[in-house]
Amino acid sequence: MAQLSRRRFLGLSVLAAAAGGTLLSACSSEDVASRVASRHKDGILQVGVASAPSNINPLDSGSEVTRWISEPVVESLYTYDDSLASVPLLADGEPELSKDKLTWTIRLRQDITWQNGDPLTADDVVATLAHVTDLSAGSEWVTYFIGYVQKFHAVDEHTVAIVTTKPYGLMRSHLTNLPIVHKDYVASKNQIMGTGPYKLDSFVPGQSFVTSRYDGYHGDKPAFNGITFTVFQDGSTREISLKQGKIDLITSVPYRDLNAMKNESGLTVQVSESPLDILTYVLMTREPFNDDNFRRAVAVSMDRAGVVEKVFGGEATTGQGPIGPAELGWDPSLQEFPATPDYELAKSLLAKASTTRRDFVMTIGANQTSKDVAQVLAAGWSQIGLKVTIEQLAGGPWSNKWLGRDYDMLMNMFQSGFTSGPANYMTLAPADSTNVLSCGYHNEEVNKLIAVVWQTFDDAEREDALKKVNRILAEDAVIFPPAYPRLALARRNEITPVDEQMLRVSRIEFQNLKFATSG
Amino acid sequence: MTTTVTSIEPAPVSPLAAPAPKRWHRVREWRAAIQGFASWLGVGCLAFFLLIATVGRIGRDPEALVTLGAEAPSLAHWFGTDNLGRDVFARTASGAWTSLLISLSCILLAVLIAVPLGMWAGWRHGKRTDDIIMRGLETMQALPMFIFVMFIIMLVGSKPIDIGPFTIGMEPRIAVCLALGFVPFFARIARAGTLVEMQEDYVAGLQVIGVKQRRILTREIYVNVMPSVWVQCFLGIAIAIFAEGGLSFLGLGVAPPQATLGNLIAEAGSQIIGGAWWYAIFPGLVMVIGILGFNLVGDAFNDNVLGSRGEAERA
Repeated sequence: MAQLSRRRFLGLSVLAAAAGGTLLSACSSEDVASRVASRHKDGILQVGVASAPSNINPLDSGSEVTRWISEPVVESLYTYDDSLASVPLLADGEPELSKDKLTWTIRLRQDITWQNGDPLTADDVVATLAHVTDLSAGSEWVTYFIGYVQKFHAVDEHTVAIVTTKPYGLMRSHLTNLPIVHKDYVASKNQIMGTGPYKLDSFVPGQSFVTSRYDGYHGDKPAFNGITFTVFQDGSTREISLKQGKIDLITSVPYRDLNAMKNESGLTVQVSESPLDILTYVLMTREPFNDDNFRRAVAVSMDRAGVVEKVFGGEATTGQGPIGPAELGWDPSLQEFPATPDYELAKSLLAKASTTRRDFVMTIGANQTSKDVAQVLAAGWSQIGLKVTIEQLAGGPWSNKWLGRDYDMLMNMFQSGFTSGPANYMTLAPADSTNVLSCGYHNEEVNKLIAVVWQTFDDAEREDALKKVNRILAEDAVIFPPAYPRLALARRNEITPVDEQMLRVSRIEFQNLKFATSG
Repeated sequence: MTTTVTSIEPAPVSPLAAPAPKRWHRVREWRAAIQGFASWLGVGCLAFFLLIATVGRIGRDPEALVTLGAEAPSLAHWFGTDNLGRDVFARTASGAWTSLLISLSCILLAVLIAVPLGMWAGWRHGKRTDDIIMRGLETMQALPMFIFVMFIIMLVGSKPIDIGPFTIGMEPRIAVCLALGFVPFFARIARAGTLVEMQEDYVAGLQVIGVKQRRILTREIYVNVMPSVWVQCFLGIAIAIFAEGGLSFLGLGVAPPQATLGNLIAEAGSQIIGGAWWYAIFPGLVMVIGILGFNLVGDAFNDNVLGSRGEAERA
């Protein structure tokens, strides 16, 4: 065999590369629409999500990561109608409230069955409540019930009574958002048994979740034979999979690509106001944020416009206080901080500060958006001589810092719709000096207003209290997020639009979507 | 009195000890080392990397947001800008400087720890001290260096550590962790070099005339062991740049917004799919050029300096 010369070898390599390239282009030129039509013959909706929980129990977490996957599987006693009013779902009518407003009696519908065929009973609701009020169970819901819920019991097979220690107006919100799970599955971290239109068949942790239609569902028969959730952690990979027609809908569209995605044929980007917050807390019990002037300097030199434009591509509102535009208590007249940083004012405030510290650690969540926000803010703060170290942590360690009050500044993205509906009550918790999450801020008026928010049965009074708290916390530079981002989804035009009203409570309602072409 | 070594392996005792090289001899040797195309390519790559890492940083703020979003390379921004509007050239230069600083300090620290350890082990060859040192180093080598360093970094965390008035950031911690990973590597070279020198006549002669052991070790053997170590330092720096890049890529390196070549490439990963090719290509290219430069120059010195000494001695 003749020896291959270097020149011949290079020539052959170029030819091979060209042939390979042509072959690849031929493979990729298949019509996307026909690929989608062919894929839809199995009746499965393919959804691309950004992350997946290790514990899939919807009672343990209110985050969208868990709840979007469990949304078609579980239901709650009440749900939101088209105007976001709370209406019965598993409950048989409105709850009865005792005269002292301490006992809630809820009757259950008798025509509901679990996905394993068992009938829904009061014992299931009691088991669910027992799990979420058990401190050792690790449920996020415990923070909503502890101190308020005294006891609960089954009055009869289809009636539940909940007794509270004091009037608890937010109970109706919780009954509308808390999923009800079969009594044998309340503590399970790898199985979900609900009453929803789809049942969870299998899942590969961190990779995919496969659901199929539950034929015994009590409501309208859903359109899809099943819904499959696939995890694509990288935003660009999610986008490309959608463009190529491999999936039908993606959550968490990277904001930097929103404008490019909007111009893609065959795709629709839906951007909606949603209770999506950039949680921003500073610890006021230690330097440097225990100094009022330092805190204000940081707040006025925050590059809010930079965050809105560079990170969110304009799909966000400039931040002021803790309450955003999609949340109860939003006050558009509150303009405490400038959109563009006021460096001169910040420098003069720093000059008056008693602390000599000119550095702090910003502890952020492990997502790219938080990292981008942090970097834009750090670039702005460097203009007034502040050195910021960005510490990026996964959910668990991040929460530990929060609970352990071991931080200078905490920041993370958080969807509150699955726990609070069109509001975010937990975002105020660190401002309450009696709360376990207290950031060290002491203001009796704020404590009283937060108590009103939780206890009142009057929605107008709650909204008024929220507005007042929002203003005080902004004016005192206690909670000052840089922006209120909008929720962004992208879908193929072969499926029907997501209800934007429902996005205001973080619900995508996959079970209500349909293939557009099949009518 | 000094002599030279042929290699890091034990060699037969030469009856003719080489004369002490004068300073100009060494300069000539180093110049002679840069021979051949590969060597000059290495020098060119190294010079380019050092220029980017030093001169490239002058007058540029790697954290400043200079454009509204990502922009392709232009006269104003040679390497383009990233999604947040930061100049990629400024960030690449800053990243190269950070990588260089960490690599140099880690190798220096590793040499400072490893050479005395290795020489001491070599001096006490076959005795208990030698056993303890070498078994300890072998224990460190049980894990691959990169895994070992990742393990240490995860233990110490990424948050700055305050010790009195001093704050220890991530860079020194990475340098220390990488240095620990390099200690067995350099200690073995120093020990092997010491073993070779111990067999030389001049050592026996010095012992006979009553020169103290410590003096023989620090004044005579040391100078003959170090050329091998310095040559390996070039290769070590290349490995350290690569390791630092890998750690930053995995999110265990220097925290943002500070740039390193590794975290620039990591952040560019998803943007390259979106068409922003410049954000990954240029920092990647600079890193490759730097690693190539250190490797080729190290190879050149290895072949031409140590090799020529060996030939001279054999002659």
